[in-house]
Amino acid sequence: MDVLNLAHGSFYMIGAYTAYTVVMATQNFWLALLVAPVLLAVIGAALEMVFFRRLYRHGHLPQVLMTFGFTLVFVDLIRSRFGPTTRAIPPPPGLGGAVHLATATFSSYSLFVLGIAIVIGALLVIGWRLTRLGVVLRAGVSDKEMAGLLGIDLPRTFTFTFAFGAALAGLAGVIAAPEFAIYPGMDANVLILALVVVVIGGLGSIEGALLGAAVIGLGYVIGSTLFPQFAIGLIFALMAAVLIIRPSGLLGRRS
Amino acid sequence: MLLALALASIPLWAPRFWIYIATQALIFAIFAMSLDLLVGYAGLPSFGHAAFYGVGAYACALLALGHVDGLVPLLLAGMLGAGAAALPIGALSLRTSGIYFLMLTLAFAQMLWGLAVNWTSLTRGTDGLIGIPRPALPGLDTLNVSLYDRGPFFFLCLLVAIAVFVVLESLVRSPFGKTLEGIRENDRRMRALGFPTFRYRLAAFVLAGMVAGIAGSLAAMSNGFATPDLLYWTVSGLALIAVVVGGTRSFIGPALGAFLVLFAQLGLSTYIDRWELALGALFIAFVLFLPRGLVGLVRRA
Amino acid sequence: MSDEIEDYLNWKLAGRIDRRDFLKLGVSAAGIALVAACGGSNTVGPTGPTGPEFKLGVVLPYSGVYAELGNSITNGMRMYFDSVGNQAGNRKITVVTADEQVALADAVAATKKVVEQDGVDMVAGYVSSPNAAGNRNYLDGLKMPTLIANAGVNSLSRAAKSPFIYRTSFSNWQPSHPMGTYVAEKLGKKKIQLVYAKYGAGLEAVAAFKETFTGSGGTIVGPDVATPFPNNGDQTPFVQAIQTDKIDGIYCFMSGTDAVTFLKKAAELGTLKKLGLVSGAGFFVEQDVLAAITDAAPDGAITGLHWALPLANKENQDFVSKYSKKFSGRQADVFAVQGFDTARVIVEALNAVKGNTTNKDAFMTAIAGVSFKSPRGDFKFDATTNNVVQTIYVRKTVKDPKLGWTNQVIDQYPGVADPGK
Repeated sequence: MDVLNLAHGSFYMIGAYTAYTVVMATQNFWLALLVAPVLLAVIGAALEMVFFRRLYRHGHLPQVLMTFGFTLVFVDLIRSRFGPTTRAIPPPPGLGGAVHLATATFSSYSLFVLGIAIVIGALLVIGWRLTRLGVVLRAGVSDKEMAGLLGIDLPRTFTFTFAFGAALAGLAGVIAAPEFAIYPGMDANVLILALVVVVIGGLGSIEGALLGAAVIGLGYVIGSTLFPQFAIGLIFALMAAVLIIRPSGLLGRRS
Repeated sequence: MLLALALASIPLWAPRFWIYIATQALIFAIFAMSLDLLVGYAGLPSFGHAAFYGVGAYACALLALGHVDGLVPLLLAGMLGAGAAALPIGALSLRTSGIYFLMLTLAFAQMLWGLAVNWTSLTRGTDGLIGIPRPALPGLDTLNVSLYDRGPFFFLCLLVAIAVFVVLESLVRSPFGKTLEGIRENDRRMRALGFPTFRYRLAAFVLAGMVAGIAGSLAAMSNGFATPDLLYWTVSGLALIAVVVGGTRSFIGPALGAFLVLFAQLGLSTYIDRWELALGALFIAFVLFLPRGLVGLVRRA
Repeated sequence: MSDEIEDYLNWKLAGRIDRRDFLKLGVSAAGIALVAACGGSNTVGPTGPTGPEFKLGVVLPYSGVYAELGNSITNGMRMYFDSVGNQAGNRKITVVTADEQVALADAVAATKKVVEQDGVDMVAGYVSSPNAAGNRNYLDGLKMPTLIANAGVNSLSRAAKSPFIYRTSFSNWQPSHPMGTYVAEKLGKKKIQLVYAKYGAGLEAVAAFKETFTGSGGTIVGPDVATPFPNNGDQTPFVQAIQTDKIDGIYCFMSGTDAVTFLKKAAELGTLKKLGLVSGAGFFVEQDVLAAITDAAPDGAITGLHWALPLANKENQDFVSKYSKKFSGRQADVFAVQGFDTARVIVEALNAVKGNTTNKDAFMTAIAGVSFKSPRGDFKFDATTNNVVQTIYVRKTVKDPKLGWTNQVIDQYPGVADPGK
């Protein structure tokens, strides 16, 4: 969609807090996996229709300003609702232990996250490549005017895409909740990482984002082991290296 | 002109605290103006401009702590230090454009931030360099004028800000500036016309970095410290916000934007408990009602 | 959930009252204090204090990563001030708060704001060490009486100490220094790996531990596990860098969110169970961390700190129950104790000088002379370092049937004073 949405991290944070609320109320983590995406889809669609729609023609800078404004609003709302305390939820029953594979040990929940990420990633690629919506979206991304001329209802498509993106971010927040801590400010950290991942992969490419995530994930783990203090710096160095060699990311189209 | 006069009168009537805040705002305005040379005129949306602000501050701080006592050498140190950092960063970043450029500049700034945090022998890590002295003013101290007083230091910042404004304004009106705008609008055509577009952009990038370095020097003197926070991406983001709030493609706009952002943040956080919410709502309202920034408002009026 | 929101709103409301119309409320507050008449030595006339208002500038984080600490310290202060009717030495105490936030530039602006705009008589607060150190010269230059209510950087009791800045919380050295001796001698664990968040507080804390630990015949097994601060990424590689088979245990300095994610991951990976000893500075398993991780808590962890929730002295039992009542069931924590004691120092010093703070040196002498029985035990200042002298408790992390996860006191080192000269 070519929208620079800094509030995407807020969607992730809201997803995590939804997980916290649902788990505290019902002890059922799986329910949160359903509730959060629906909630975020509604929030996303509303924001798109009321606010972001007006921004597409203004370019990236007003988008940066407005969506940054939303990050402030969301973080303050979260803080007033839940307080500034760090929260945590345990992994769902049965996934709280460790798994030994050969000489390595992984936490079961981490493996679960890996599995679910692969499934979602695969579904996204299939949807992007093979479904009608995917085709429409790809058309909309590459040439808005042409897609409009071909009779595609762009406003509706964009609302749907935005809502879908928000729902995915919310889902990610739920999945991340038992793995990390839940606190106001978790949005900023994940936002920067997500931007790095997307840019390394190449904008407008789902496969690129998946590849970018793999590169960053590996880079971070190797970095943490070799240069623990500079792991985050290493990620940025990695991104810089990729962009210097391939200015439009790994799988992005050359402009 | 009127604005400069109004500003110049601040130390005469404002309470001490507001002189301090106005000084901070002036320094931030210099920083925002330098960013708009990139964002507005060269069409280069940098998200890592704090790198040069921070490098300038550290260069000035290290020199001042190393007993260099002189206003000009300290300002030059910030300017040249930042320029030296901007040259390679610009050369590499300018291979990309758009969001990629934005992210690449962010990456370099964050790497420098990591360096400032981890190179403890030079920077003292997260504790930062503190107790940075302000330079003496030879000749003026006999008149009892010292930069340790807020009035004189405010005037110094105002003078530097006006000088930066004049230089940048004449720069964008010069053939160099016109070429830069031509490159922003259509890089290929300008290249076809025989302009080395990459070098023009790089020159703009280094220049903007140097001006940000001056702002960094002043910040180090004003605060008396240099910490890694100065290079953090939130600082780059705040400057970008000042530019957009004020309005791009003018230097008065970002300067006003800097004042507005700083005063809004301080004012709201002082009197409203949910100040982040209020500030966020203010930014959203700005985009909805003033998409061209403060300058758009002035131009319309 | 709802009680927490209410609690939060109450707190915020109180904050607003302080800022805007404390004056209007002053009379009724004094009245309430009369009714409450909690047996203090203060005699309040029917019209309340007649001296000039005493303005206290509180600079603490209410947004950003340290907001929780700012809230707790403020609650503790409010609780003590309320208990004496918000007055001392015939002066009404008015609190003006300013948001320290995270970065030094914001903390400096907040400090200048309370000092210059609000014209406060005294400053208290500072959660983050760089922010306390960065404001030190300004406050010292103004001879502004200041109490540091959290920031632990050692230098404020050493090279950078000031006759006008006293610390009511701790120096980073204090909780960890006795632990080296305890782990090596009393527990007989001689091979320890250090685990810490690599920033000022972490480095100073493990250095203090190392000094007494190696001095008592212990060996630090390398390499140290030093995590970035704050660590927003996965903690797995760091947990796995703990060499469980080569060591008797770990000594750890982490706090807040970092401690939560680290302990959760260490529990999931089974690392905690394989360790003979999990020890550290008490922040690693303080109540905020334990409340978040619940059953992932390191059962039996041995940590050192200047307070513990179940501490048996009367002052603490009182404090803990009243705190919970006042703040809608919220559990007291070490930061609230620091706030409580900070307020008490101010009140006692004001009483000692009979409200006369124009002679700054005399007021500072009064502050230096304050000593009392705090919820944390005996509280007094060290004339050499201007830092608090206090008992460091050796605590064991347990699941208490009444309190839930908490830290039981198993030993103590009374009168621990920072070695600054």
